[in-house]
Amino acid sequence: MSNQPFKNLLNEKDNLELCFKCSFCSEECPINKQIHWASFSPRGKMLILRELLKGEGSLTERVIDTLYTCTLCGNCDTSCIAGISVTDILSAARRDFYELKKTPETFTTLMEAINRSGNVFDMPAEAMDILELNPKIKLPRKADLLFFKGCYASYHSVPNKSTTLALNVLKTLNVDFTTLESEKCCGSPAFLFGNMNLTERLCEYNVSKIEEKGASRVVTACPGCYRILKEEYPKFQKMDFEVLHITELLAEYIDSGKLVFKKNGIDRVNVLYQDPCELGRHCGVFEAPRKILETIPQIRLEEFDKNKNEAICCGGGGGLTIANSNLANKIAQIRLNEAEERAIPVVITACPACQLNFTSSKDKYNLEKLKILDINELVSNSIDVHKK
Amino acid sequence: MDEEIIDKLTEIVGKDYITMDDADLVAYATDVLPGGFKKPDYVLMPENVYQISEILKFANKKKIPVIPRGGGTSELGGCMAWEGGIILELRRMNKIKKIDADNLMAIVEPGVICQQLNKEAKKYDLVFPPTVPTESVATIGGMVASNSSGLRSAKYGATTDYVLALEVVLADGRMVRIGKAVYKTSSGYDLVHLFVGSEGTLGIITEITIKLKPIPKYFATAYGLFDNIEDCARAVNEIIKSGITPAGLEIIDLPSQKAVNQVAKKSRGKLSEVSFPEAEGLLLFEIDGHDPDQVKRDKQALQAIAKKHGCKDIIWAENDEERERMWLARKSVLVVLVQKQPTIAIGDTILPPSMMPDIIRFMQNAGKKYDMDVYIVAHSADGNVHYMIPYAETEEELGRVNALENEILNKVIEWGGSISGEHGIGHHRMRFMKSEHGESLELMRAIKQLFDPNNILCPSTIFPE
Repeated sequence: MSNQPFKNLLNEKDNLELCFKCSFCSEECPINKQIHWASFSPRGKMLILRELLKGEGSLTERVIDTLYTCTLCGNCDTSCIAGISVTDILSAARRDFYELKKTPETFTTLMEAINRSGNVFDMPAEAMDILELNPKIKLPRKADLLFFKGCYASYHSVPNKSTTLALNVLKTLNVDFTTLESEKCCGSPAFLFGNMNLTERLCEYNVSKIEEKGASRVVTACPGCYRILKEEYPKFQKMDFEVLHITELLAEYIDSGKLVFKKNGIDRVNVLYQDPCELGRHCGVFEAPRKILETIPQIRLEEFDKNKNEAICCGGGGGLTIANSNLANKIAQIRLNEAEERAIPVVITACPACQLNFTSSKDKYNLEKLKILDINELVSNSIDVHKK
Repeated sequence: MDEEIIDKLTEIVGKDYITMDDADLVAYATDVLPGGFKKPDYVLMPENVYQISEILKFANKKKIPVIPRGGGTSELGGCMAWEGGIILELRRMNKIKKIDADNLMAIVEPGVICQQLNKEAKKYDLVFPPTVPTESVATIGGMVASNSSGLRSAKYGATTDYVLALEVVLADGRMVRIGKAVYKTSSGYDLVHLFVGSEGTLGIITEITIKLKPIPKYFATAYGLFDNIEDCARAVNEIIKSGITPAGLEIIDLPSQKAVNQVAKKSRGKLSEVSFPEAEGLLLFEIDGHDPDQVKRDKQALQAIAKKHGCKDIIWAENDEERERMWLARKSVLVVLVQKQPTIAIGDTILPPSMMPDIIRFMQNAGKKYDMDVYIVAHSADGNVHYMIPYAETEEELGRVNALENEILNKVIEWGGSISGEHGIGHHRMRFMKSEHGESLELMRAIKQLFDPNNILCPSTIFPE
């Protein structure tokens, strides 16, 4: 077999050859902790890909299964003492597999939906109006700040609620912003499943629409959208706007004294903050959400045993909730169990995927005492409206 | 593929816990480092001792090789199926069955990861002391099978010092319990310690009762810089004789330090945070304990001994982060060498500590003779000297590295040492067993024959043809 079918992987050949199979990449891999076949560990996956690249391995269903049973959380990158980006290698292989039409059907179906409807839920574009963020909010047609809603916030009731609250906070703070009337999926799923053409098309579309609005700053509450807009879009085309996560914007308002929280005499509630992989490890945003949480008087921020760069994925990344929701829920349980064992009643997230997977896992495993909260909901409940 | 074999093995473990898919076989075809590539025929993931018993009864009848495997972090091919057969993936057997905090003991299944045990033991202020660099992925079963020790053996010894009792399945499927959950016994032969370090050749370990220790509370960690390795080694000898027992006493040679510093500068990972101060002889030492005054006294005494033997400077870690960085630098030596050249020969020779300077010089000179770079680190309190020799995968260079290793290992044997202090023999070192052990190798063979007459357990490990 020629190397030709795996040309993206071929670009990672040096990276692959640096690996001497020490297995440190597997130490905190959430998949490796649940599935004990060596082929599902990062080391195993790299061995399999190395054989494929050499033309000595077969592209079996099992190979496909191992590659897509992965949250692409990047913990393997952090653990690799040699500094190899395992996720770059796995992502390259996903691109090759897509080009070879070996992407699992669940993912291709989802990408077809994006192609057809412009969103992952395959909803008609008008449905975004039905679930519009908040009908009471009157937005200007153009503004310097644009809020990129994302599919989750637009079409799924749970993130829709928390994102609506985020927008209410902006309104309470008298921030001028607008949104896209005809926003399409940011392209994050297509990127994660290796379809770079679709990612690029969505980038071109969304960037042109954003530029029509004249925005110099784009803010989003979804780490998936944030990462793709901030890290991947500039690789396709030049952009004249800055990209922020909502926590970065709110942290700015705290610094400027614009965002102030209510003080009251009740006992502080202990909370844990889950670093979303795409916001934290992949984009380096660790401090902004912590600044918000440390400033809210009603809560006391505790840290997970593994946090920031070493944070364990909620299980909802890389498409795993679609491919294997049971496994995704089991992975979430690791974090939720830690909260329960430490008697910390609230887990805060800044990501719709974390919020949904944690909530689903909490329900499945009857962790009734635990509360999963989006950071925007907390901000909305705690803001001092009299001091804006 | 024999349908009868597949049907029977599937019946024992269930269809979800057997694989013959090429992807899985590839993932089990190797361990750490080049060391060859050989796919097994089957990989099984048993759930309990009874399944293992049934597997072995059947494999013994059919004379199918069976190789137990944990984290797969060995460097010598001991967990590979050199003659085909079955790999037993034991990480599904990962229960910590009991932590007996009153008696400082734990009972664990073989697939428990060392770090997982220590996380649980920490809740009781206890620790399993043998510290291997791979503790986050290595299993307790693997550590027992290869008698691992590592970075803190100066004070805490090797795995064997902590194993009290075992449950094992013999080659014919019999399940036996050996040893007791007691600190000592003089009742009959010490079968427990026959199994420790037997590398899977005598039976499959399915349960381990181990001793734990209280976690030390206070640490003093430093780099001592010397003008040469001889001074460094002399300081080590006097430290040992002085009655101080440091938890770590690591010698790192200058080429290894430089290699780490070069790679760390360019690293994107954790390694970017480390650097060695660079000295011809560098000693990384650590004192730990439960009494801060004692640690302080030992620190001063150790400092005085080091100075007496020409230590130019001592750099103490000022906090836990610095301490961790010092250890990470030490643990990284092999990693950075592999980045320079992924094919590398590794040895873990051991001689009496006073002979360390001699064997280190011998290794360096032999390296020059064969025009190969030799990098050296040592768990110096034990006299356990590791060499690492990167080589290109050409026939000519492979010939030279083999000749160089032969010369070093034969010299160690000639001087009364052992070719392995902690890694084991595995597959790659079998050729030295006769010259190290002489007639006693036949005694080992007789024991192997007694336990495994059909030679199904790790058939290409320890014993040369």
